[in-house]
Amino acid sequence: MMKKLLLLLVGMVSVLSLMACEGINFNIGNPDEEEQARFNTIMDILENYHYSEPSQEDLWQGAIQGMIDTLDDPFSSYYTEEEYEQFQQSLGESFVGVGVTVENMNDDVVIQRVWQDSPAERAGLRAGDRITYVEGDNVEGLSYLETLMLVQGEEGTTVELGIARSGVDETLFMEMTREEIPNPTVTYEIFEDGNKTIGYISVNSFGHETFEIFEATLNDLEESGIEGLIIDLRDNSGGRLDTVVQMMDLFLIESDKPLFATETFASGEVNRTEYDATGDEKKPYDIITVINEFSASASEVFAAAMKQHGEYDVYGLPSFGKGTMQTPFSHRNMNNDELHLSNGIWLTPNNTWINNIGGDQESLYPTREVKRSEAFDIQNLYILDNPLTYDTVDSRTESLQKALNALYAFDLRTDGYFDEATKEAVKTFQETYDLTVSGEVDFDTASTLNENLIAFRNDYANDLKIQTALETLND
Amino acid sequence: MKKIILLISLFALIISLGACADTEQIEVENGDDPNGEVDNGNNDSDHNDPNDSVDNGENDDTFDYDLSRFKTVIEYLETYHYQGVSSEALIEAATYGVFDALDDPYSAYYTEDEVTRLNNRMAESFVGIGVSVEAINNSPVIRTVFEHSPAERAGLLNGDLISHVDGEDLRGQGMIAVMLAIMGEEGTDVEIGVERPGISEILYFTMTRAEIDNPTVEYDLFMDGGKPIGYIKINSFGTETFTRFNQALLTLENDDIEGLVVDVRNNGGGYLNAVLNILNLFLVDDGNPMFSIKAFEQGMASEPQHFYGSQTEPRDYDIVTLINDFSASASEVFASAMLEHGGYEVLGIESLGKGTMQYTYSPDILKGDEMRISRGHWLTSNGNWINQMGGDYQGVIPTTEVIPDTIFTLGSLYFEGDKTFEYDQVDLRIIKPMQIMLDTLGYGEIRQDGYFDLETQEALKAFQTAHDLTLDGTLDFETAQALNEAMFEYRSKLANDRMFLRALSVFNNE
Repeated sequence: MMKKLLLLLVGMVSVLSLMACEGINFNIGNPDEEEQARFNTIMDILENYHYSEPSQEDLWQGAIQGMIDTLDDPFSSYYTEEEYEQFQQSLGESFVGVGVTVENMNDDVVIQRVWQDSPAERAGLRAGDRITYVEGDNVEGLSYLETLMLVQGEEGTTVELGIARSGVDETLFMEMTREEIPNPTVTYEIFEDGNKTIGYISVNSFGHETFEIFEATLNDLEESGIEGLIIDLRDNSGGRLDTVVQMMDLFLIESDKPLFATETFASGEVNRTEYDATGDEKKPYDIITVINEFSASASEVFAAAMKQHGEYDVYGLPSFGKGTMQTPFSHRNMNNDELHLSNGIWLTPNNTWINNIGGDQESLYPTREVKRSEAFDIQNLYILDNPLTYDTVDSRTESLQKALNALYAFDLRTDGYFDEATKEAVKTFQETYDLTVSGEVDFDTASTLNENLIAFRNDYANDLKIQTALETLND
Repeated sequence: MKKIILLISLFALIISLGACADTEQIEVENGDDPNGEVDNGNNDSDHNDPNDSVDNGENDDTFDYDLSRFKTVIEYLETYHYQGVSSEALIEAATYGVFDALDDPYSAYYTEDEVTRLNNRMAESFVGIGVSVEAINNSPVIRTVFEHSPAERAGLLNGDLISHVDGEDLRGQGMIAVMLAIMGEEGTDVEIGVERPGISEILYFTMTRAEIDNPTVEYDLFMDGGKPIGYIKINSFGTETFTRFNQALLTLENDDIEGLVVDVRNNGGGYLNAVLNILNLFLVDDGNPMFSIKAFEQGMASEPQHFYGSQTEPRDYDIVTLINDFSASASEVFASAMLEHGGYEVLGIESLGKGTMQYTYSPDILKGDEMRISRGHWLTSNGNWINQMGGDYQGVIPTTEVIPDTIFTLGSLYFEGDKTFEYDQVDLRIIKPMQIMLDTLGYGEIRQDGYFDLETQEALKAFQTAHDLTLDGTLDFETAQALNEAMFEYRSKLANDRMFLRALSVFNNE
């Protein structure tokens, strides 16, 4: 039986943490005396005359934020002590929240992943949604972290989020209750339906205890006599570098290629380090790694090494493309604030820089591209007051039509116009599930369809990537 | 460096207020101070040079901590960030960050280069290429090419999306960046690159910037059942606006008007002096201020300065003011004074709500750069602060709300030239506004939900017949262009303007 591991990971695209460099000393030269005088003048005039009476602290904070913003690097951030405390609190063994992983897109909070069985999933949040309101307040002017802090709160309390969703004109409001979200970083399965016994391990993030759990799980599976292994890194946005190094060492053996290399920057100098595999025996079974467009950072290090160093297959969609590494910097001048700064990049065994901005390649490309079933991209239906009816246009009707097509093999138009065929399909659906046969989509019909959609998505049989990998391994 | 305060204005950038149909003119004040006496009344002369005060050790430990923290962050970023960013670039970005921290869209920092390009007076003409553009997804799409303008001679067309200026690709950088790039000195050349529907490559046109006529005041005499009604539209409160307004009023009064409509819809504001002088034409000195202003220093507001009316008698005809959600700043000063002080009707929809005044600072150390800072508030006759954020009211509330017809709020139909829309399609961005246009223009009472049904097809055919277009009941780019023009023509007629018609009924009820 698998030990359950609850780990960190909340609201952050994880960083490839390296060592913290405490108290690096340098001569703080003047950026330029005149520049400084100019800057002081600006601060002084603003502090004295702006009607809102801004505090020096806020203005300086704005100055620092402005510098971070100009980097065109979403992974460098400055955390004040207060923000950092909040951040640390969220790194407990399990976390209280609504169950989403988010990413920072130009200070907008964009949902990267909705956790299964979480309040967010039940409320209908989806990956790609942008949070625009929290508790009725517009948060578009706030920073990423400020917004996250509003979303966080105590267990059992409710929060109402307003969402901008592409293709939907108006803001969608959803209320959910914060709860304790278990966060196992490793889960597994054994598939025995085919010719062979195939092991499956899914890794959500590379946390402190992930390696131990992973190794124990792998041993269990090997004792069960697996003849093939699927390692699922979809939606895994990264984590600790030492964890991923240990994991790669389980599979990859010494060769002339490194597992990966890092290049860190200091004062224009580049410092290159290569990490070599130390294993001496290849696994007796084949391994397929599965990735998608949300596999980032440490996941990409792993998948790239499996592909280029071990020459194993990688299935799925091109990865996110995050080839930078962040180091937390602190300094007595910053009190207990922390600057997380992209000070380096990592390179694949073939010395390729994979980064979606300016990299040699934008993504790690799978050896075999496998898309997901359309049902995974269909939005849940929110019907509150008025049902969807014949001869109307509604973006929700689009989701309805796609869901009916994907789940029940109808061939409906999918442009949101509720035509005669849509009405007939709805009637058929209602008959099947003992609902009032009206040909209109009311709350009950929508809820039933949503439940079926979720069940469909949670069934491995509908997971095209896993099914394709199983076919290969069973061959 | 003693001279810190150069001027007061109600206004930073007109562009930031109007969502559609801005001309490429960006109106800002330059140099002259419409309200010098406020400066003197505000102890500004006592104010120390900001640098002196820093040197004098006026600041406490917080400052030292913040400065050293700031320097440390610069040092880290410059030393360790993999992109190799320079400290100059960082400090420049920090300047903008400081302004962002104010959370005030009207305070801004302009580089010398921008100041030069922004240095257009709010005059009756401006230097430009002669187009008005509207923001479609924050991209500037040409709505009107002015007659006899450089843009018309060069061949720019309605519907062109401006993508390049002088070889620089400005896509994705927003309206203001494009506008700033287009502006320049009279007689200089500018090369404009546009995306034109139906053409895959960028088209380039070179033209010479010229003086473009841009009247801030337009007027008309409207006969309503034999009753002469005056109509004056103020597009912005510029340097010559009062003179022009006064002339228009005299002309209309010579025709014995029995009512006057003053239209400040879509008027983003302007000089305080201009609105003050215009208000003085109408409002009487009754001991109540028409409006007041106050300035802030270190969070303390000065005593309000009041502005009183100067007429002894009100006009012998009724006056109705029209506002909408793009009426801002000086327009709101006007509308609120007419309403609260004069007791006149204000029709339309609640105004934008900008109750702050910007002062401009350009001490020597900024080397020609300029800061605009929201330093003051203006208050209505009744002493209310009207401001979107934190005001007593969020906008000027009309005495009677009149919602414009939907067609007045539509943008042009704009899509890739090889696309077409036809029967049984759904499209909220194109088909829905097309249905609203066809219905309003009288080509059929049709559904307006974006589903292209048979009735929609019939209405479109009727429009194509009336405009000698290929009669196929399909919306292609040519038909869309004709519809856009028909819409603009419809909107330009006072008789179709629901707010204006409502104003007439006010006069008739008396």
